[in-house]
Amino acid sequence: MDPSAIVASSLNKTFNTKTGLWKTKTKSTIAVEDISFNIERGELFGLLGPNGAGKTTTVKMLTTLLLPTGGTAKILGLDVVRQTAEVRRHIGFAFSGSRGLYNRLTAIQNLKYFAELYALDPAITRKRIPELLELVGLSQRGDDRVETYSSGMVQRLHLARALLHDPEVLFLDEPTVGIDPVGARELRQTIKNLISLGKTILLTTHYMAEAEELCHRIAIINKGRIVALDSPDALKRRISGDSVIEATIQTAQAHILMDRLRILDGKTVVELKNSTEPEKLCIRTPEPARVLELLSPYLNPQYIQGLEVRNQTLEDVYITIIQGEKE
Amino acid sequence: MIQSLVHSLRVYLAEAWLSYHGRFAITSPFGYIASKLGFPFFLMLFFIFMGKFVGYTNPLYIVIGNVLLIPAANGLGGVTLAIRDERQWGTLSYVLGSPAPRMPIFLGRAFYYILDGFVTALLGLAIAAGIFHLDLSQVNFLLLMVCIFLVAVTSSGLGFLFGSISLVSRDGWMITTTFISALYILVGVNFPIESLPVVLQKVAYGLPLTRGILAARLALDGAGWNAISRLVAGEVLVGAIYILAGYLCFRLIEKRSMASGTLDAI
Repeated sequence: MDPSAIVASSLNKTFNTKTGLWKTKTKSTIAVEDISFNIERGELFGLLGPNGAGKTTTVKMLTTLLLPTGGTAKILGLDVVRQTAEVRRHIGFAFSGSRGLYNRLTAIQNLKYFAELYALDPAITRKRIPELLELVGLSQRGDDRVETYSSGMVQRLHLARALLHDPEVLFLDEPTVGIDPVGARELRQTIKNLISLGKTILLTTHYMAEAEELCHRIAIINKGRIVALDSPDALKRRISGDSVIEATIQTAQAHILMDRLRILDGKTVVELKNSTEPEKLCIRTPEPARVLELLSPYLNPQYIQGLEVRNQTLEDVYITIIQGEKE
Repeated sequence: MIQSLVHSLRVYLAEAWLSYHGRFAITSPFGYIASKLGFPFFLMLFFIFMGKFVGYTNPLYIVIGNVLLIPAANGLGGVTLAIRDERQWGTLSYVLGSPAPRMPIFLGRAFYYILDGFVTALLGLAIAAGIFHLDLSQVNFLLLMVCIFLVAVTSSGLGFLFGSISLVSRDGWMITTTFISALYILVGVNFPIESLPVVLQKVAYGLPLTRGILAARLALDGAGWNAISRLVAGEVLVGAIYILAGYLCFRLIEKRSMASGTLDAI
């Protein structure tokens, strides 16, 4: 048995849009460029990236909803272009947003309808629907019309629908968007439970903490290309500085502190975050002790009002990589 | 094979159930009757009074034409909306991303509208007969019902075609309503097709409804099966062509949308 649940090989997607009525002009936009990765069975793989990076396009190609312009993709060894119907039987997917359900129907009616599309045996449908509603915390609202649901409830119903036919591979596109913190935590726990049941999950998200908590491996995607792919810990180690020092400073004294830190070598990155109020000096460094020594004469409210030393987070890694790409 | 057929049948019935629930199951009886009978009834009255004004003595001609337009508008408008709404609701990706066979997904949308149009037309005829004291003594009721049902089915072919267009065009519904208005002129609802210019007569015979309405008028005069069989066969053929064209259009659009990424775009 192929250990890979999902294999993407040199996937490409270019969108051509035509403008003008008579003299039409075709504009090509590369949404995904030469993307390759393998996701093993039972793995939770995260796809991170800014808006328009190509995350959803990648998911749509893998879920057979979009034809790649080039490259190949296989789910459980099945080609997403040539064995579409087979692939669809083995995957479940849920996109974020309030659309995608029949709002005039109840949650149970929606699930019954989709159960028919997936050719589920009526006896299995009768058993699974209450189980899934329980799993996503909608047992009490199963008979209510979806139009009365909050966006978080809709999101959870999307997940229940994706799980109806008990697929081996799940694609979740920003599943916790619009859900309150408690609901999001419950949903993350549900996702962890699914992994313990042996499901393979590809998750896209904007929330770094969520990716760090859930994902075994993460691919950071920018402008259609994968710019980093590793485990969250390995990604964090990859960035030059081992520690982050954030100093809350008096704006007028910023240049003095910046000058003081200039003697450090190129491995230390000093950045003034003047978009925040009060301003913050963000120092990424492999020598936190040396930085603190340099700043110690200024540790008084006239210069530095607060100081925090912490390890790199996935967010630091993400921002460093994406900003590096911009430059 | 049998398993596949059973699945197709289940998908067809699920689609039929969905099109009913999604649209009318929550409407109040008043809202339902108003939407089904209100508009066609007042339009029929308009044509009857206009007919009287220009010298028509028997309103039955106008009544039957307009009554037959009720299932036609249902089949055309309802089916168009049933397909178009999938795009608006963002459900198309989930429906087409399932392994369900496409033909029953597509055809199931019409089931409820055909039944609904058929029943509403019969109701409309009964009301009009009561109000205008129509003489129905000659009518071959069985064949008339066959004709009404046939028109409801064949007009859904137009609905499939326009519904498919609605998946890629924002103007799909506007095109459909314009076309429904054109049917009042083209298919012999209020006056014989022979009154139309020759070019429009040819257009009329290329549309569903035309032969169905002619057959219904013959049934109204008490004609038997032999007299209307050719018209019925022609209506079936034209309707089947439109249903097939709608389905092929739907599949073509599905394939193109998968290439262009416009499956759920509005």
